[in-house]
Amino acid sequence: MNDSQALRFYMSTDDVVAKATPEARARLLSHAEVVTLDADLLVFEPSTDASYSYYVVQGSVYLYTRDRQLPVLVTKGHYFGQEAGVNAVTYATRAVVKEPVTLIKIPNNAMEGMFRDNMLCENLFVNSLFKTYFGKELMPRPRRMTYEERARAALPFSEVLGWLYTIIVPLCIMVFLESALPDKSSRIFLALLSIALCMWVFETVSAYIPGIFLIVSVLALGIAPSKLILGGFASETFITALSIYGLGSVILHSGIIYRSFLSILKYIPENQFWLNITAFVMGVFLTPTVPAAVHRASIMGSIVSDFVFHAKLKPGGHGATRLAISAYSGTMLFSAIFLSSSLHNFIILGLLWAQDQERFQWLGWLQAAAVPGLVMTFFFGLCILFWGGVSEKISINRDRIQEQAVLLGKKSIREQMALICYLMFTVGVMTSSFHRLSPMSIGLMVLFALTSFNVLSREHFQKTIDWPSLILLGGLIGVMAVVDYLGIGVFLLNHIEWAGQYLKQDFRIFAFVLLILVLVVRLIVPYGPAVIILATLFMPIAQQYEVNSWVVSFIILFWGKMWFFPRQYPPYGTFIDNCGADDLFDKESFMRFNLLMNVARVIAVFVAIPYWKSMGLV
Amino acid sequence: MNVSSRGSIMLKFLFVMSVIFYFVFFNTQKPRVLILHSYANDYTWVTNVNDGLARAFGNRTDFSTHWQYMNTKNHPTVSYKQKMGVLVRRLISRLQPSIIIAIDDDAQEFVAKFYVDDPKITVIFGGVNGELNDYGYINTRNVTGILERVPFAAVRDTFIYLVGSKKKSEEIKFINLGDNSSTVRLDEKQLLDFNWSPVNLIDSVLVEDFQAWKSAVKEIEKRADVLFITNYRQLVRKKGEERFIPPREVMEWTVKNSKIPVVGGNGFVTEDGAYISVGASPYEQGNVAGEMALKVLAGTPAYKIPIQTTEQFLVYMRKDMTGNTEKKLPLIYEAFARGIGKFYGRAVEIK
Repeated sequence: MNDSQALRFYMSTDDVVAKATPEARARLLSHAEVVTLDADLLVFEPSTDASYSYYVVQGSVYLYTRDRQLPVLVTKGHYFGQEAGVNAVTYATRAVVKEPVTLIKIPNNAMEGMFRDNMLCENLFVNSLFKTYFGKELMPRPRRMTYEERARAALPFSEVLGWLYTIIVPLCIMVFLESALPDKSSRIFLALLSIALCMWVFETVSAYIPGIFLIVSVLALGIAPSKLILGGFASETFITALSIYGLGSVILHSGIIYRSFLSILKYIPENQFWLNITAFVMGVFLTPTVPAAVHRASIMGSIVSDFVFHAKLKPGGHGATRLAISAYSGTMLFSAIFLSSSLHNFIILGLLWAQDQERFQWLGWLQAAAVPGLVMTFFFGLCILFWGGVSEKISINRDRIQEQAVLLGKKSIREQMALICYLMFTVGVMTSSFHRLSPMSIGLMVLFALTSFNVLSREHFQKTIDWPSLILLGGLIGVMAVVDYLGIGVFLLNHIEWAGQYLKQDFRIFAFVLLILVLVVRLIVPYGPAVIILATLFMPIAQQYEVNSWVVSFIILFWGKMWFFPRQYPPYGTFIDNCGADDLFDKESFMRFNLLMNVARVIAVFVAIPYWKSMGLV
Repeated sequence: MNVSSRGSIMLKFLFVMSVIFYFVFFNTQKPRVLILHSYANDYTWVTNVNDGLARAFGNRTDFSTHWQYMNTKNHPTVSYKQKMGVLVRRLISRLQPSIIIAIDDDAQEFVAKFYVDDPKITVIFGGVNGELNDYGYINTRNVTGILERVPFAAVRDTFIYLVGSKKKSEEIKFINLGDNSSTVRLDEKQLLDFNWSPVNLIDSVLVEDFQAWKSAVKEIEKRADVLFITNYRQLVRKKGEERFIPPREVMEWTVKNSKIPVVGGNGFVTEDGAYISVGASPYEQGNVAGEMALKVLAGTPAYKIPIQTTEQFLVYMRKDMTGNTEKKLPLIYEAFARGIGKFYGRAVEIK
């Protein structure tokens, strides 16, 4: 067998190489060396520096270990000397040729190159090491599918359908709307919008891509001035969101959340009531800090699984379910109440009139949304008290918690700074009527502090800030400006004039109509696009009938969060995924509670109407 | 790879390709309009013409606009203008615009007149001080536009208000002073042709350097009641120099040293320091040219769009510390100037 035949044999038969990327395989080939050795020759000893792994192409090799009488026989198609590949200093055995062999000699760096970013390759290689000594292969456990993947797998053709719509709908708009919308630019833009909406509704691409698509199209077709479509990136809303994302990322990654979780566990009384309150309050605190429901759901999911373990609750029992409900409710019920808890709140803020944007900054938003927030808290408290039968006894293992706390050690500078910056931001925003700094300036100052003290390092800044969401935010604010510029708002307004009639009669009737609309739209459209479409439609009409458009958009945001089927609300899936076990809590009971909270959401808005009236918003 | 992912990749590919194809198709089909300025946008006249164009174009996006500035005010030599003309004509053959909006005379002389009767290009001129036959614009099929004329009648009225309290209109004498540039020579021709009755134009003096300008100002105040100025942007400090004096310096000196009232025939004369100017409206030039371009885009051939002449004029005023100018002119002058934002509150600091 000549060299190239040997290499071809190695490349075509080995499992590890088969799983490597084409580029890694090609590079491996340039480093690999073919060696032929005669019988009884020594390949390496236990003291030899481990710098090559070997693969047998022909012949066989004996491996002698100190403690074993019989040597291990390595034959054609197997590795030996894998110690080098796993970065050991020396080999563990003595390798002697049994019958003349042809070997492939692979240097360490070539192996490392292959393992980089390829866990599967590395696992297979380690597995081969195990097999060499124990003669038995380890079967890797198949990866658990996430909730979203399972949901997606259930609908195999939705993507094809999505792309079909993405191609057909805009064509229909161009052809059939010619008489209704004679201005060609507006028609083209509406067609582009429909493309973006189809992408969102069918989730054929990541959520931020339609935003980029719209920007590119408007720029390439010259439908609107570039200043307008790119204006979102220069808006206050964008900068505020950027700083909140920065702060959120620091809080998430500094470890402060886990530390606070442990400290709370150390002191809370050993009963379910307090456990639930704690989980709920933690969720509420996370809400304005982490501006993405999915991230909050993932943090809370893992905290719930820790809670259940520490409190020795029975998985799937009443106690665990109630805990899961409390934690989930804390993180999700107040999404629309705090401005900084969701990207979509920022988008809506960007759509408001300049004067309203100023009014409904962080504190103003909270103030106007306070009543629905309080009503939700009241309902949650009431329901959770009587939910799910008898309380289980809990006992918290404080010793274990103490040990964990010791392991965490003292608060790192990073954690301290994260905490200080969080307080700076909160206090700054709360006292803005006193110092007159806008939330944007406060946010930027905090961001400056975080970056200059390297709490948010350059690498973290690149990796942990949710840039795609920010791009979507900037893009959508620009897109809405273009909608206005092209007069599409007026066109739409003329088509939903009927809604104005209800508004004129009684705001409550209008709210009821809006409720039905939100529920129907949310059945098929994901939360993000649904609230943006509905807000774009109804904000101008509210303005026309002397209702502040914030109220209408808030109601849309608040009710948009209602869901009946898990696929309507991905953060729920994330929550379950992060709870660890599938049966950590009783899902049916959870869903019933969720239904109750949906009713509470409806009541909360109607209760708040007199309050909004007194504020002059309705 | 399962069926749905293969199908979706095909559809994705189809989508992306058709989007790219549409972008390219859309952009190549869009008519292109070249807006060619003789000067550069460091000159208020030019930016105001652009404002007028923008007013006409509004939100329209069904054609693309390209802007080109020949910058001949700052480089007035014939060789530069010729070189620039060649470059712009090269740009035009590359860009293939369907409309050229050429503003001011140099753009006509060195570029636009080469496209008379070109079947693919329509020329719309604006800000032209010269005559139509200077550029062969008579009886053409593809040229229309708006001529710029100093509003002499309004200028005459201003003279009468300024001097009228001392002298009868028939006795009022004025002299025109300017640099020796092509624009001023074109203006001078019309100035001489205009019937100034009842006031009297007794002379027109064109100079090349500041020294000559200064002595001309001193000379004129002895001979006339009003000094009329249209342009002085191409004066050198000393004979033989190439760089021009900043126009503001010229006007500040003139206002400070002239014993008789100075009246400008262009808005910038007041921006540079004179107390009163009456000039053609740059907004009108831009706006009318823009409207004409829209008509051509809508399918009207150029020869069916009649050539227009300045109808609007603007009054520019600067606060006269002695109060003389304001006192003598009817209140409506100041109101007009203030109304269009051309009343300059503070006198230029005179060193």
